[in-house]
Amino acid sequence: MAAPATSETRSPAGAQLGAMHDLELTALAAAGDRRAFGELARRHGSAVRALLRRMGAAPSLADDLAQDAFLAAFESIAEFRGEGAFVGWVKRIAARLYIKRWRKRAELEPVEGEDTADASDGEGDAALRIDLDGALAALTEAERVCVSLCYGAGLSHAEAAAALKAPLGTVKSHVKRGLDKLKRRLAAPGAPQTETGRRAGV
Amino acid sequence: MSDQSFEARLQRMFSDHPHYPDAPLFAAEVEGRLSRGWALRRLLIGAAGAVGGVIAVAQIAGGGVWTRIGAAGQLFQQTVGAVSSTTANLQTPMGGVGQLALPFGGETLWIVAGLAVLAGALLFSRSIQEL
Repeated sequence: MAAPATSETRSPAGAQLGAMHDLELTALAAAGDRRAFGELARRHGSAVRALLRRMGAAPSLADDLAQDAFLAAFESIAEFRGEGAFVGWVKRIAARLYIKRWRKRAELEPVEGEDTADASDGEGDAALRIDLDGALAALTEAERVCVSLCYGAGLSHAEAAAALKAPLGTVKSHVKRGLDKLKRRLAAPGAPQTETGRRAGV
Repeated sequence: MSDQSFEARLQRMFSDHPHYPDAPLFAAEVEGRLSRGWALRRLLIGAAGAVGGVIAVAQIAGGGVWTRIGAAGQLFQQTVGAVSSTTANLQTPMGGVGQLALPFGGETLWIVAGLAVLAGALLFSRSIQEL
């Protein structure tokens, strides 16, 4: 990378950094200001860590990968054009880092048939208000990863398939099944569970 | 709930994340790792500069420059010696200049030159860091 070289002494004070917009901070970070980047990590660290945990990473692994993602983001900060939110950009980096690890131990299998085991519990729990974390826990690992990639990290199905090195159809199937399950589990208490709603997919 | 509204809701739910109490510690660790990485990079750049300097010195030495510098040093000694003996003969207050001016030989001269090259290399690497 182009070596960032702004010295710490040229960095604005902490209070000033706290009042700055993300784009200003990324500009400072691109000039090598590590404290400005630290402010970005302070602001968005929780979002990245939460995404990784929702994807299925253990808390310690999620924290390590989130740190790695921020370091990778700093290394390639010149590539960030500010076209989207900074946090979204780091989330995508973090998600890809997690996928790299995940792929070493898991394989995204094609979806075959109906997952009857989960279908049974969705209806009964619909009356309960379950938060997203709890609902994601009901998904299979593959569904959870695919749904998190597409709705948490903001990847398209094609991008998710490329990151997972899996066929697009397989990813779409996992997303659809994951959404179906989430829809059932996240349904408001008393909300009607229509067959159309239950079977809706991507 | 329609598919689209559910997907929008799901995206909102993903955006709505918990704020971990150790967020400042997390940021400090990120900054710490950045600083350590930068320190290591500076060390490597400095080391590369030093190695480059040593190689440059070795190349210069291999080119016979030191022989010429040694000869120049001897010439310098002879010149200064001649000047000092002349001044001593003239019985001037500068009679001791010849002894004072010869505390080093040709080897010392090229060692100093080598160190100067090393210092120059380090200075150069530091300048590159600041660019």
